Amino acid sequence: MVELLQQMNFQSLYFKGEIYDKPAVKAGIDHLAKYLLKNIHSQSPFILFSAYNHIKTVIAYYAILKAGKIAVILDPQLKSLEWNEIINDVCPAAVILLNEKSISFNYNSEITFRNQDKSLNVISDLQDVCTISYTNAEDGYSKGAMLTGKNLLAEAQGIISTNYLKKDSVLCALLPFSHLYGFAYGILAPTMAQGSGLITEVNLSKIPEIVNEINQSGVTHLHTVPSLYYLLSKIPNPHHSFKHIQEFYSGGIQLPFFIYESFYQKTGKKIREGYGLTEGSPAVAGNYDEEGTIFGSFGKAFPGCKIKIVNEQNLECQAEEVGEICIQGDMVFKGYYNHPETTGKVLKNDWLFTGDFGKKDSSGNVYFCGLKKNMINIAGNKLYPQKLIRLFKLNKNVEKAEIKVDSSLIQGSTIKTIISLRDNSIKLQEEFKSWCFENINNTLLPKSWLFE
Amino acid sequence: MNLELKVAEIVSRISGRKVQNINPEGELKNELALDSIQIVELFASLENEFGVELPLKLMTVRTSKEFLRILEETLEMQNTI
Repeated sequence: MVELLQQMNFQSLYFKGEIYDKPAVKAGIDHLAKYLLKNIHSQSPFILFSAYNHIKTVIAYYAILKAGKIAVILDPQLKSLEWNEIINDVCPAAVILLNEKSISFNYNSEITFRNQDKSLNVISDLQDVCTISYTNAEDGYSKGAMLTGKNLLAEAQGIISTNYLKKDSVLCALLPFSHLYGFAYGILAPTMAQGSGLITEVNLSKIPEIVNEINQSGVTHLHTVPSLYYLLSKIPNPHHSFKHIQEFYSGGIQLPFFIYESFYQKTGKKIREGYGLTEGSPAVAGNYDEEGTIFGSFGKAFPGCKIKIVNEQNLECQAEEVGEICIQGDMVFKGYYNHPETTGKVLKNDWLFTGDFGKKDSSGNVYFCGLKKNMINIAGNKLYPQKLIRLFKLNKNVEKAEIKVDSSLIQGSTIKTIISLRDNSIKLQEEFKSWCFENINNTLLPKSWLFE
Repeated sequence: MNLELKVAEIVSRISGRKVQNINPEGELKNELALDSIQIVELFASLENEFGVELPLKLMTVRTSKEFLRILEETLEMQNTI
């Protein structure tokens, strides 16, 4: 944990027009870490923090590490059902729920210390684990992916070397920090690199304002998802607006050709696509060769990371043969917290079996060829239908729930749900939908409901 | 081509509501519960359907009627050019 703090190397973080240099951020981290240490009563090794795109998120994350605790990244969009499951899973010593509206901390209102919970039963080896990121799993229950300091240092170094970040680089992740992709490119890499970072909100209705902020801050490397590139391609006078940006990167979901092409036509810049997953900390590959990008390929493995494609007999595939993508290297996570059996299904002989299909060409470039696992990727949000069905069934009026998947131009996939309620009255349907919006992360919820 | 009906059909597909239940003056976010990413989807679907490039201000419109108005303006400008 200390390793990460020692490697902090940045010059400045830009947030809402203010510049936070390293001494200022470090002072904030030290102050909060001392406060945490003074007030923690519980022996639980975990502290939860809500990861808004905010300077306070950076400070809270590193303060948790400095206090010797494991930071559990919490999606601020989570609602009570999933929130309670995570609380019960890790029984945290404290919960930091940041007020995103204010710049400065109010420890009294933003931090809740919890008493020792006797039900905490840790069966995982937490040695070197510093961060837990919850991810959806096939059985419908979220699992905490345990990431070590070594994982995250390797990830930061991978990003720094493949993005060619230098002293004058300014990195911006136009991604939610509560997702590991946003966390790695929005918090980890900017603080470990020797340049600077811009922290900005992700608001699709405020693209011109965000672009202005990107331009004003001199952002040189931008990471975001295809839907944002679709909107960014519509910015008038892009050569001026993106004049500082040297490289554009995309991840989270496969980049559609029409977005890649339209962005290139407008800006003259080719978007470089990458690949990753929570269990890989997350980014493990990218189109980082200086000569440019190959559309349709997510490039090559990051330095220090190996990718192989295996067939059903677990033998390595030939070039162009489709099989399961497997990853090896320091970025590969330690396992799922308290779920050794699920861990054993994905970590075999030091290889991470991703559950994604892919192929390699003769030059070693890797191509994504679909999902082996029963997962749905909606605009970069990964969902297992089983999870949603399980959560729906916690409502006493639900008799049957089914999820159907449709393809989508922008989001990759969308889902619709078919629900059978105890009775099919409009009143009960509306009550059920309200219950879902109150209790389930809205980004997971289908937009199309069919009651029968 | 009946633009109004076509827009309503696209809004219907994205929102999961029946065409007859789409109120052109209803708010996309509040009444149809569309989130921002679905509005981007709507945006892209209209461009794809009509073969036009729509302006970014479409992200700030509140109703399908406003979507329709901007679409009509854009188509008219395209025909003028």
